[in-house]
Formats: sequence, structure tokens, C-alpha cells
Amino acid sequence: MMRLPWFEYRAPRSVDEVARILAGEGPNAMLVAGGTDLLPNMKRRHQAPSTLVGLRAVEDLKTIANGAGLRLGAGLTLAQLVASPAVRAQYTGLWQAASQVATPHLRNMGTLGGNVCLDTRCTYYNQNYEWRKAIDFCMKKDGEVCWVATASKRCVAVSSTDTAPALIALGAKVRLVSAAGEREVAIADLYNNDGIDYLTRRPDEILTAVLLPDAAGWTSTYWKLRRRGAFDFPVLGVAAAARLAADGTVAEARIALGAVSSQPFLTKGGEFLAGRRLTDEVIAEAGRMVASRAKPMDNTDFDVYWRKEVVAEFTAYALKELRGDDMDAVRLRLARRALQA
Amino acid sequence: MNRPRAEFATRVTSFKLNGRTVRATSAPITRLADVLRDELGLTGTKIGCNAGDCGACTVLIDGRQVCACLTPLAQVEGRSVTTVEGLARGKSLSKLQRAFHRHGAAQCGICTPGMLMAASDLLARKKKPREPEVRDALGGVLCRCTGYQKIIEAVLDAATAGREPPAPRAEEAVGARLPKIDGIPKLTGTERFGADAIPRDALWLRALRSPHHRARFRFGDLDAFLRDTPGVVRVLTAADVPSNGFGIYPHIKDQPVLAAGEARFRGEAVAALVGTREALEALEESRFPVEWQPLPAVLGLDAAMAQDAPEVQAGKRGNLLLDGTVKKGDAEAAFAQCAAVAEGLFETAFVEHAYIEPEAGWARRVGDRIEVHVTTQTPYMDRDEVAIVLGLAPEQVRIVPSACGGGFGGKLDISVQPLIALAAWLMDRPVACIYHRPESMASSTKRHPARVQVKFGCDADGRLRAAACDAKFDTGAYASWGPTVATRVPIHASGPYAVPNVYARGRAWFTHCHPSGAFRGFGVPQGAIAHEAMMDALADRVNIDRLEFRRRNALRAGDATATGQRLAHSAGLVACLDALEPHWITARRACERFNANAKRDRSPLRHGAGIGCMWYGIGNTALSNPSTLRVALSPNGTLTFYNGAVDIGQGSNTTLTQVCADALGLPMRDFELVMGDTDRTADAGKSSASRQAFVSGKAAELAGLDLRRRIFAAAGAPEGEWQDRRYRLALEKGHVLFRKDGIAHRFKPKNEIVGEGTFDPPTTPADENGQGVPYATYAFAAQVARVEVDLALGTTRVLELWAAHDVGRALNPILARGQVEGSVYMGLCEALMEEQAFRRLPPKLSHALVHRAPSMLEYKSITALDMPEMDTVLVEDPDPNCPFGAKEVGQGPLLPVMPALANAVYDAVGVRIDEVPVTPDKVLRALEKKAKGEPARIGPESFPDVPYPPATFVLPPWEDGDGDELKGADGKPLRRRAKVATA
Repeated sequence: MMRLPWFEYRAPRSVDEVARILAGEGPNAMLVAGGTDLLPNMKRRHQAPSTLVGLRAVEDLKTIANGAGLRLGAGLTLAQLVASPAVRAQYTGLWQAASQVATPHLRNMGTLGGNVCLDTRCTYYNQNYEWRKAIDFCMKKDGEVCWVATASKRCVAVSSTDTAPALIALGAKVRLVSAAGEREVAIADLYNNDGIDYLTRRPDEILTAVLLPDAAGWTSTYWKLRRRGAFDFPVLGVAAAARLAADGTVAEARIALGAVSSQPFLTKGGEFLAGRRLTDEVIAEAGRMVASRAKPMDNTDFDVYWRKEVVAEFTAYALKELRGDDMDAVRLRLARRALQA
Repeated sequence: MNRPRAEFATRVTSFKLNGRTVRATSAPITRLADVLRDELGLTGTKIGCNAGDCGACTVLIDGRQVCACLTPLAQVEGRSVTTVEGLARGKSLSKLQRAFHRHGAAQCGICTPGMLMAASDLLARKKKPREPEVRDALGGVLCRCTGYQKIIEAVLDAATAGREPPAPRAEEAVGARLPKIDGIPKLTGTERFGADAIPRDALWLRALRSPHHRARFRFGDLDAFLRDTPGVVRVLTAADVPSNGFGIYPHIKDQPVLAAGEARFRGEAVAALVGTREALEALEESRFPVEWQPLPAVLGLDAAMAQDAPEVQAGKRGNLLLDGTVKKGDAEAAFAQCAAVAEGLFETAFVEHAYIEPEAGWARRVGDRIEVHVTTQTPYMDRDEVAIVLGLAPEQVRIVPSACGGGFGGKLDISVQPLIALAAWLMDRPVACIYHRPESMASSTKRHPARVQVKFGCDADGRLRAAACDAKFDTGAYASWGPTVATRVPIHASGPYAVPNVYARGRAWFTHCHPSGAFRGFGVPQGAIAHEAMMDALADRVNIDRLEFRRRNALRAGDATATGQRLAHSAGLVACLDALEPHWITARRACERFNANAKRDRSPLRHGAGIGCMWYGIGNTALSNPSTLRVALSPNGTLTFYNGAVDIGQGSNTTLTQVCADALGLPMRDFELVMGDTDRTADAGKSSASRQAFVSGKAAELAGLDLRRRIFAAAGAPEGEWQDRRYRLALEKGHVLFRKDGIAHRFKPKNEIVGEGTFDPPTTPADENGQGVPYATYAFAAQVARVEVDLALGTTRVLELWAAHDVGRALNPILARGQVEGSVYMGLCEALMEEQAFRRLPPKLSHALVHRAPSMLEYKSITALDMPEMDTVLVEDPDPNCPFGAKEVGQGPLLPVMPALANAVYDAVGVRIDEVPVTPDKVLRALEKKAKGEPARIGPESFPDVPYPPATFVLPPWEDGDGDELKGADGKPLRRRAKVATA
């Protein structure tokens, strides 16, 4: 039966207080905001912290601030993000990513920080205790072997966040705060290519904000591949952002991939596009390049070879949208929703 | 385990609930769903999965929809929570609820609170949303009954005050578009499903289940376990069960209530713990002393049929359960005369019912009787099974069905009933059990996986001359409904067409899997995939339009079926095809135009249109399956309809009342309903095989007529006068009024007057060639699907679907359409994404064999966002043997969907996917093969021809057998009794 293991629940009101608690409790304490990822995992005995530090009451984490760019509090719910006109207009890729996470329920409950720090997933890991016991557990939790890649020395659980690839393409940074101080890292550097130690955030650090650079001149997009129009995690995420020069060539671009590795990552596709015009041939070449970096493992829905096969096409959708093509019909087909900016 | 800190024990969480402040004392980590239901007594919020995967528990927090099952109580401190109980103002329903009611948006009702709350969130912010916004808002709530159509219509119409249609006058109920008579409780959250009315003092029961597909097991020191586990008061094992075998058939009670020494499928119950709910939910299963010895398991048809396969059940040689054959004419010879012959091989997988309400119920002992309150499709069969298991007389068992939150065939076999009954009996305390979702998915029955080989032939004019079909089914570890599937399929295998020469065979094999049982269609969908592919292949071969080909061959009244039954009446396939023809023509033209443009514009999209047809025999195959219903008029003028038929969402409570009311001649509003309680209603058989409208409907009609006759007689009318329908009856202040020609008679009954009706569809048993009359009537249907296939991605999207269904007579068009929409939804789920498959770990490292998709997240069901536009035509070709001509609509519309989709994909891109689900990777692989010049097909490659042992013929009870007795080749009992081992 899926009952939560016992834990102590603390409800601090400020970031400083959170930092003090984490410093004091050590690695047995975990942060919880919406709880939509952590609580089910706790019920399945994936994580069993003795102390949960709730972030709900920390108002500072729920602000959106202008400046050079946009500063998004990590405690904002995904629904609040989706409702923000600034996010929708200027950081459309993030808006599209947040809009497609799970269901309306979970977007009302889950936070930006929670999605950025989402636990990696695998069909052998995200099961209840009895199921996992029947397979003698797995490398990620309580076991020795990775059942997806039995010869692998590391866990290949898949990064399943939608917002992170979008944020990488947007050149975002995150702010990490602890009792020992503050630091900012490029969001791509928040992640490790490891299914178990997938975050470089230290256990005593709080991810307080996502910092987006000035979006002037940039357009961005995020394409999510999944079976249904709701509920499902991505089996492929392609995020792209570009700034076009006056002559219509690409001045700068970034293409990031999600759900094909233990971490979301920036590809070299963006560099390739710099200085080029977004013709069909260039887009196709960029797609091939991006696809060559995608190494999905058989740990999600859908056939793994198919997931790899469609990366180039998906990348092309994203780039065609940045080029200004009307991709509404394609978007509607795949996402079942219009998701226009 | 940590002890809770003292402060948590008394911590109070204060929040606003439906406008009032409440103070909840449950522990702060308690799920809000449990707090609402258990501490605060509001059971309107339902629990479907407890994992955030289904939305049944949707409530509003500060006006926004959330999953109550994922919300710890601590998170609602100081906030405002709204549940379904908060929507109405006293007795006055909200506009949204009224819209749901008049549109028929609630079928079984289990998802309705979740849908209402999700819609409320949207409507509070947008009074007149557009359809995409509605689908968006409802995207996180799953429904298995409606296909979402009527729910969306209701939400779009919620701003309208709307008017409920006036209650029909006497004798005008049948055919009227009526809201459900039991609709309101489903909208207010007061409907009681299996988990909703559990007594506070009930003990709980938790089954412990085998993690292995096949294993011997041994318990350790159970006494020590009990001593060391406070809160657990009893452990039940096989030794505690008086008669440890159950099963659908009287002579096949092969499934143990608790496995004895050997578990035969992953998820089989081996022990049951009884104790407090807290102790059972907190228990770590690893503490229970049991040792497992895994054994090699037989999985899949190929393994079951292999020469050296281990026996799943001792004594069932070759793992063969049953062999059913239909032979008419000489198919082999006829093929040689055909101008065109087509062949095919098809495969389907296990499919999960995934009803949003998991199995649930409670039992209590009352003197020397046991009373079981449970969600079920079949109270009388439950009664008989529980009686056998407990060693009681049937009269000692009372089954009180709760509302049923979805069945689809999966709640025919007993689940919690024998365990809670046994526990309550032994302990003389009420005992309750609610399955959790992975448990339900692991242990309940499934649709039979099938491999179907077919060969069809026609002459140059496109007239079918011969059909051969061989269908092999995986029936899992126990018989369940296996014999039904193996006999129903050969009867239907040649399709709804007139074919003079037929050879069809169905066989079912045991494997070490959850038993395959009853699932909407009972094997006929698997056959339909095959015969409809053949229709397209032959039509193309002889150059006849695919719709016209089917119409030419469609069974018509007067034709003979594959079993030699002459259809005297009501074979409406031609009418269905005629109704679809304009859409077919338009769709094909549109596809041609689209594809031409797409090729020119170098778009990877292609459109295609496909047809699927079906027929479905109503009632149990060649078996007696009577229904008896009663309706009573009391001396104080109360009219009560004692209706043993369980309404599982299909609307039988309403339609049967409509029939009874019109037969009797009183308006529906006079009727009170008692449903299903075996102490108060007669046996109306199972809610399965689409039989309630037909069989119980006929019985309801006869009961109504019988009461009418008796009332007239009691009132002193001349004999035969009751048949004069110019008399209009009415009930007024305890009197019956008879009005005719301006004259009114008044009569006050002195005693209760009871009318009763019994109906058993006339069938004949099959002879040695399967010839006979297996069903008294058949429904027919045709569908056209227009799809879009993406050549680059391989994805298939249904753009539009038109369904024409010969229902005989639509007793209630709203409910009938709802069944068509829901059946099509389920067919699309199976066609595109549902598959209850297993995952084998690398054998060198592990013996483990686990379910791939043991949750509602991983087992993919279509959401509101994925459902295409569909249009329904109800064709009425009444069968005079049926109540008001009505046949069925609960299962049939599922059957044409998979074939229509596969045929449409073929039309669009020229590849055949001969298995379901049709997934993008399969389409791309088929396209690759096509490009290389190989057969452009994905599907099973082989159909093993195994020299199996001769079938074992067992004497059934109606031939005076006791289930053990064998008969010889001469049909007479053998002297020696064979031992049929059950454990």
C-alpha cells in the first residue's frame, strides 16, 4: 500500500530560514514545494527524507521581477508561469514548455523550481515498492544493475523536465542560495549526465530563481513529443531559440534537447546555424546534427529507435517555426493544442 | 520506523471547505482525498489511482483544480477547498450540474465529480469557453465511459439555463430523450460506489500477492507475525477457505480464492491480512513471512503451445482449455472455385479495463447470513460463488450491489467478494477491502490476446463464397470466460456477411498470466480486425468499391448465418452502410484531393478512409440466461420496480424503467427503483453480453404487462380488458384511475399487486458442427474513419469517425448515443495506445517478468484532448422478439473501430498493420519495408501448427455432469472419474 514514510515537516517563511534548516539537517532533509514529484516518489520509497522543508510559505520565491530580462521565482507554479503575459510574449519556448507539463491539476500544484529539479525517470524506477522488489531493484535505488543497459556503470535514467531544455535554449541562469552564500550558474551547468546524481545543486542549496536574459530580438519555441495530449512526460523535447540579423540570417541560436539523456543539454546545432539562412537544407542539416547527439535509452514510453528516428524531424519543426512558418497545424496534431504565443 | 512527534498527533489543520471553516485533526501528511472522505465524510471526491494519473479526485483549492490525492492536508491550511458537494445550493443544482444532467454527461458517474470540478475551474474564469479550452481544462480527468463527447457538450452549454425535457407522459417513455433516473446523485456526489459507505467499525483486508508469474511458496511463522504486528488480527490462507475454487462456469471452479502452495500468475492472491486500516496500509510487505521458489513460467501463446511446455494447470494437457468449431458447407473445396482469395494473420494483446473505480466493497455477518456490499456487474452470480466458497446455501448470502464505477466485463469475476465475505464470516465483524490501482491492474481479468489466421474467397461479382478462420487465444492461468470467447468467436468469425461455406475455430490456451476474461466484445473485436481486412483485400482484388462490396455481402433478414441460423428479422447492416455511404464518398474524395496536394507540396501527410463492420449476438452463447423482473403496486399507491439488473453506467436503470412503464401504462415519474439487491430483486442475470436491454428489457415489458393485467383483474374489469390500450392509467392519491372515452374508473388496491416477467432468449445448443441458434438476435454496425498518417513520424491521427449502429430501437437516444461514443472511445484506445504487456528482464541476470504498465500513467487511455470528432447515426431495424424492438448498443460500437482504423491507414499510406495498437514505429517500419519492395506489413509472422492432444470433453451440469465426469467419443459418460486438479 502506498503510504508515506514518516517525516518531520517544517514550514519556514524566508529563504534564509530554509537555508539554516538545510545547513542544520544535512542530507536527510529535502525541499518540497508542490510535492507532485517528491510525494509520489516518497510513497514508492524512492526517497525517504526524515525532514521535509516546505517552501509554500516563502513568498519571496513567488515573484516575477523585471530588470535586464526576467527573474522568475522558483516557487511560482507552472500555471502562474503560463498565465504571465511577459513569459508568453518574450520567452515563448518556456511558456510552451510549462503549458505542456502534465495536466492542469499538476500545473496548478507544481512549481518552476520543482520542474527544473525534477527527478530523473525510468520505467524500472518509477514503480511501487513491490514491483521494484520483484526485479531486485535497480541501480538508481536499492539495487546494483541498470536494467536498461546492463553493462552500464552509471544509471541512465532520463531527464524528464520540459522547462529545462527550454531554459537552456533561452540562455537562462539559476540562482542557488545556501547558508554559505549565493551563486549563479548557467542552467545547463545545473545538470550532470547521470541518472542518480543528476543535479550539481548541493543538498544544502535552494534554487531560488531562474534568471532569463533580455529577450530583445529573440524568438523561441519548445516542441514536446509524448503519446497523449496530457499527463505524459516527454519522450523527446526540442527547444530552440534564435536571434535573426537584419539580413535574415541567424545571428545567434541555441538548440537544446530533453528526454534523450540523463540531462537536458545544449547541442551544437545552434552554432552551426550562426551566420546561415534558415533554408530547408540548412534546417535539415541542423536536424541531422542534433539527432546525432540524441541517445535515448529504452526507459520511457514508445519504441526507443523510433524516438531517435524522429529527432531530426522534430528539430525541423522547431526551426521552421522560428523561421516564421505557420506551424499551427503541425503543433495541433502533435500537442493537441494550439500553443500560439 | 519513526514515531510521530507529539505535536503532530494533536495538530489541527483549519481551512475553508465549501464555504465553511473546518478543523481537521488527521495527521498533516494525510492525503486531502482521504481527509475529505474518511474524516469529514464527504465521499463525493473519488479515488481512482491515488497517484495523480486520473483526475477522479479533482477538487478546487482557491478556485484551481488540483489532485486531492497528491495534496497533503498541511498544504490546505488557511486556504479554500471546494468539492462536488459544494456545487449545488441546497437542493438546487448549479447550471453546470443541470447541463450535465440533460446532456447525459454522466454514465457510470465515477469521473463525474472530477469533471464537474475541472469544468468549474474553467467556467469561473470564462463563462463561455470555446471547445479547445474545454478539452484543455478537462485534459487531466480520465473517463472510460463517455468518450468525453457529452461532457464537453454539457460544459459548452453550461451558461445556458437550459430546460430539462418534460417528464414523459404515460406510454411515451420508450424512445424519449430522457436524463437518467439515477442521474442526480452522480452529479451531487451522493451516489454510493463500492468504497463510499464502509461502516466506521469495519476491519480492513489486504491481499498479499505473488510477485512471480509462477512460483511455489511456503509461509513462515504466521503466529509470530501476528504477535509482532499490532493491528493485524488475522491471516487467511488457502486452508481457511471452505471451498477454495471459483469460476464463471458451474463445472469449472478452477481459480483459487487464495493460492495453495503454487501461484500461477503475477498478482495472484496467496494470503489475506485482516486488521485495522492503519496497520494494513502501513505494513511493509517484506515483513510477511513467505518464501518463494520461482519456477519457469509459460508466457504467450507460442510458449503455451510448445510441445514441452510445463502444465499451467495439472491435468490440462497441452495447456488447452477449449476448442470450439463452426463448420458449414465445405470451405476448402469452395476456395478452389473462388475468383479471388485473400489471407491474413493478425495479433492483439492483453487489454486492461481500467475502470476508474477500483474493486471495492465490504461484508458483514448477520446471524447465519453473510451480506456483501460491492461494486459488481452480477449480484446473483456473486451470491452463488460466495455461497460455494463459504460452504453456505445461496439463501444465506445477500449481495447488495453499490453503484458501479465502470465494469466493461471486468467486474463479472469475483474479486474482493470471497475474501471479505470469508473474513467477515469468520470474525463476525464487518470487513472492507479496496484494491489499489496496481493491484487491480495486476489481478483482474483482461481481454484475451489473440492470434487470428483468416482466409476469405469470393467470386468475380464479389460474392463471398468461403471463409476460414482459426483463432488462438491466451486465456491466462484460469478459465474465467475463456470458454465463452472460444465459442463466440467461431460463430462471428466470418463477419456480418452471408457466406455459404465457413470453417471457423477458436481455441484457448492457459499461460501463467492474469486470467483473460470478459471485455467488451468477448473475442469478436479480434475477429473483426481480421474479417474487415479481408473485405478490403477482396474488394480491391475484384475492383469493387469497399463499401459496396460489404453491402453486397451483408447479412439481410432471411439469410442464413455461419451456424445455419436463418435471421428472421432485424439485420440492419445494409441500412448502416447506406447511412454511411455519403460520408464514405465525401471522405474518399477529400482524401484524394488532400493527398494530391500533399504530394505536390512535398508534405509528409496522407489522409485515408477506412470501413469497419460488425455483428454481435446478444446474450449468452447457446446457453440459458433468463432474467426475471418484478414491479409492485402497494395499497398506498407506491409503484416499485424490483430490477435485478445492475446499471454499470450503460443506463439500464433508466431504459428498463422506460420499458416497464410503457408496458404497464403509467408514467415513469411514478416509479421507485430497487436495484440489484439479491434479497429484494429476482435474478436478472449478468450485466454483460449486451443482454440487459434485450433480455431484462423483455422481462421488464412482461412484468409491466403482467401487473397491468393483475390490476385490471383486481379492479374487477372483464377478462382481456387490460389489453385495450385506449385505457389510460394514472395513480392518484393511492388510487388507480382508468380513463377511456371520457369515463374514469377509480380503484384502491387492498393488497399489494405484483407483476412479474421472465424472459430467456430462445437459443439452441450447437451440434457437432457448431450449427444451431446461438443467439436470439444480433446487432449490426458499420463505421467509417478518416485518418491522417505522417510519413515522416509514422503517427496516426483520427480526423473524423462516423458510426452507424443498428440498435433495433433506441430506447433512449441520449443514452444510446452515449454508449456508441463510449464504445468508439474504447475501440480507439485499443487501436492506438492500449497494451497490457510484460517486460522480461535479461535472462542471464534475472528471472523477473513484470508488467510494463502497472499504472494509469503508463497504461495509456485517451484523454479529452486526444478524442476526435465523431458522429453517430442510430439505425432502427426493430426485432419483434425484442422489447419495443430494441437490441443492443453497449458493446457493438467498439468492434468496428480497430478494423476501420487499420483499413484507413492502409488507404492512406499503403501499409498493413495487422496488430494493435497501431503505433508510429510500426507504421515507419512498414513504410521502410514498402520502400525496399518487401511486403508492406507489420504483424505476426507465424501461426504455429501444433499437434495438440484431443480436447477433453466434460459433462456440464445440464447434461447431469458434476464437472468432473468425462464423456467418451460416443457421448456417454465414462465409468472412471478423472481427477481434475485445481491446485
